[in-house]
Amino acid sequence: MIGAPALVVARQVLVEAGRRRTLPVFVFFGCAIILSTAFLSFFQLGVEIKFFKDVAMTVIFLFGMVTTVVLTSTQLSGEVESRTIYNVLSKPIRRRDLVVGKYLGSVAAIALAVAPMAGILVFFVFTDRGGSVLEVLKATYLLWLAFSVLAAVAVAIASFATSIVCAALTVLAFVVSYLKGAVTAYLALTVRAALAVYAGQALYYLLPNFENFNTRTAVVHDEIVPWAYVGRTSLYALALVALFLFIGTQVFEEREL
Amino acid sequence: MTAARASRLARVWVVLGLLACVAATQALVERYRPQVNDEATAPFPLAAVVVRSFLGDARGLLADYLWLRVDEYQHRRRIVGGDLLRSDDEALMPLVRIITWCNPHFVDAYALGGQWLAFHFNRPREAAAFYEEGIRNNPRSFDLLSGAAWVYWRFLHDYPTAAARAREAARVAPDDLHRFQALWLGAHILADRGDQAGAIRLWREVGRLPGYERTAQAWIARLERSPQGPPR
Repeated sequence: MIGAPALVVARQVLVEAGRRRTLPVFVFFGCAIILSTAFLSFFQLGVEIKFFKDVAMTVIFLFGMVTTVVLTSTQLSGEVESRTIYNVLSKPIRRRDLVVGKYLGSVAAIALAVAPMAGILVFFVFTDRGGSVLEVLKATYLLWLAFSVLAAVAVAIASFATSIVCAALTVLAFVVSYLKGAVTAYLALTVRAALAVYAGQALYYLLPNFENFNTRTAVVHDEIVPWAYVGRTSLYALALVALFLFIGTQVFEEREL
Repeated sequence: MTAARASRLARVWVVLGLLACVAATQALVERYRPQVNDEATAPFPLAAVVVRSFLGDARGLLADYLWLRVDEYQHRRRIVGGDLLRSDDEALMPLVRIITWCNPHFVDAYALGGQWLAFHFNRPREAAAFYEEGIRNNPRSFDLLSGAAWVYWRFLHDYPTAAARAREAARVAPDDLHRFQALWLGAHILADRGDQAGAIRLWREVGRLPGYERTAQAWIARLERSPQGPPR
């Protein structure tokens, strides 16, 4: 179970994220790009808002992803590298609480970083009558779920790796999650052995699939994302977060510091 | 069994259980995926799958920006010897191909690509195949259905397919002007094939559209006066 110390750690991560310069800078640039796109006017009527939604969703996705990697990969590994971990662990706190606290704090900070960008998107969609605000909110929530999963992956890697290795492996895991579709398709087309095809399928189902959180097409084309989809994707994210946090806590418990 | 080994085994079982949860929830999500993103069911060639995978969520944005480039290049084509430079036209086609890989709902790119293949490069079979791919991914696109009908009719002389596509275009037309255009196209295809009765039937449909009664009557009268062949 998550203890009160984990929440204290989470709050500390949140405060620390605000103090660092990187996070506000990312948020500022993200908001600036979205705002500048809102005033483009070289498209024909009706296309502008679609283009704006497309750009805004992609900017939220890219900046959110970078924020997640930068913020999460330096949390646990940073403490170990700067040796402040000894001070922290000398307090009455279990290692698993520390890992979970770091994760919860990072996820909350990511939500705060994404909120202004999502706010601008919602504002322009509402004022330009560019579709349903609710659908935009659903899509943003799903993107935040994707960042939460990525943060869990980063925490699991940070439990045994340095911050640079952690950042590199997290980005790699993210890229692999997109490439696995290509690998599965390639295996199905070229390899005759059934075993290889099954291995491709297993890879597809067991590795994180970040494409599940992408509802940009639906938002851009004013389609409705069913609540059932939002619910099932939330369950999927929960399962992934539980898996990676469990791995992270177990590895960190065993780690020689 | 030692306590440490039992604990390790328990952890392995927990991980396996969580992996099973991940696979099960992925299967649950998969069932709803086409409703949220019908690109998930669109058949892509392997090269497109690889390009799409590498681009990830940025592919829609790339499609938009490439379309801007297509627009810019199209208006800056060079004229050599009084004619548009063919290599400038050819340079646009890969961009159009990548746009439709990135976003299979980019109807304008399919429409432009199909039209250029047929009219600029005189490759009507490739144009028809490109239109058909676009129609598979966007079955309710008036532009693609009418564009395909035109290519089947004027270039490939495949009258039944052309007439069928024109009929579908009339069905999905967003307003009376577009419905008139599709019915006009369908009637000319049927008349060209020698099916005067079918053409007259379509013109009667045109006559039911507000504002097109006189046009329809003129064409019906013209067809009835020349039962031997289609009016040109």
